[in-house]
Amino acid sequence: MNDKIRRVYIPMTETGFYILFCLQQENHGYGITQQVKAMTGGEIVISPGTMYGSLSKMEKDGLICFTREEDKRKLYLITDLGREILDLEIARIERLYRNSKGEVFHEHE
Amino acid sequence: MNTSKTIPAILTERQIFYISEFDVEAAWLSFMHREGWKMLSTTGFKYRFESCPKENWTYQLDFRADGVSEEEYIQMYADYGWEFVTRFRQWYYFRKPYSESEDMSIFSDNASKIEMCRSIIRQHALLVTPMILILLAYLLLYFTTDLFPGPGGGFPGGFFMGLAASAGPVLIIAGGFVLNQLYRLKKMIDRLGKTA
Repeated sequence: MNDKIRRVYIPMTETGFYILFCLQQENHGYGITQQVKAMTGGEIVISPGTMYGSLSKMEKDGLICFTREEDKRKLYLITDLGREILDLEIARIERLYRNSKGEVFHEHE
Repeated sequence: MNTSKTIPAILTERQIFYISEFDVEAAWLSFMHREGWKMLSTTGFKYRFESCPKENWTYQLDFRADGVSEEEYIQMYADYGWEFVTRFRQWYYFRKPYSESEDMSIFSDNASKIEMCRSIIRQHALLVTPMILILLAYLLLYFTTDLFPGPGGGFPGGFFMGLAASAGPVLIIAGGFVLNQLYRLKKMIDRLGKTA
């Protein structure tokens, strides 16, 4: 993976993470906002400017790709590169979580 | 008055907002709507309004650099309840009835607002770079060649001399203005970055 892409996206913003996470299934901007709102109990509501900017950037960087159009709405899906980034980010968040609970990791010999 | 239907009145206001004042501009448009004037269009310094009921609407401006087609872009905002008002160059104006329970910003995090400011800077840097290059070329020619003859050189020489002499200061002022705006945007990015 491109080192630059990795440095830009990891750690990810909360918005970026949820968008990429949701795009494991094909969806459009507003659909993602609704899904994120539902899964976070209304805690995270992504606005259109933020959504539009994030989708454009992620598409340009090859993390997601345009699949098709439905009623003037663009549908996107995660790419292999996006999947790699998402997996790295999930591992990072897991480590963060476990550390926050007092768990300590030991270096591999 | 005995007319049940009235033709909406039109109001034209002159107002100048700089590139870095898009939030101030949005607040002013929201204020105008509360006063009973809803925005129709703008030319950058002239704003046209139409009389309407005094209601609390929130206006927001977005700078659209590239990405999806305009139709899909406006549709996305419509999905979120934002009505497309008008466009001026790459600035898109949206409005939505105010709601206390909702976030009335079009950016839910600072990172994306910073990204928008960066794309404004990028686009304007493209504009200002040729200006600076022309200015440098002009200064170089002025001091190293005799392409621009001295004053009193008669019609062609004197005319072009005058033109060149006035082009320099105009470029300096215009370029300086744009650079100052970009500097303000940079400051805004720094401010947003600190609270991110």
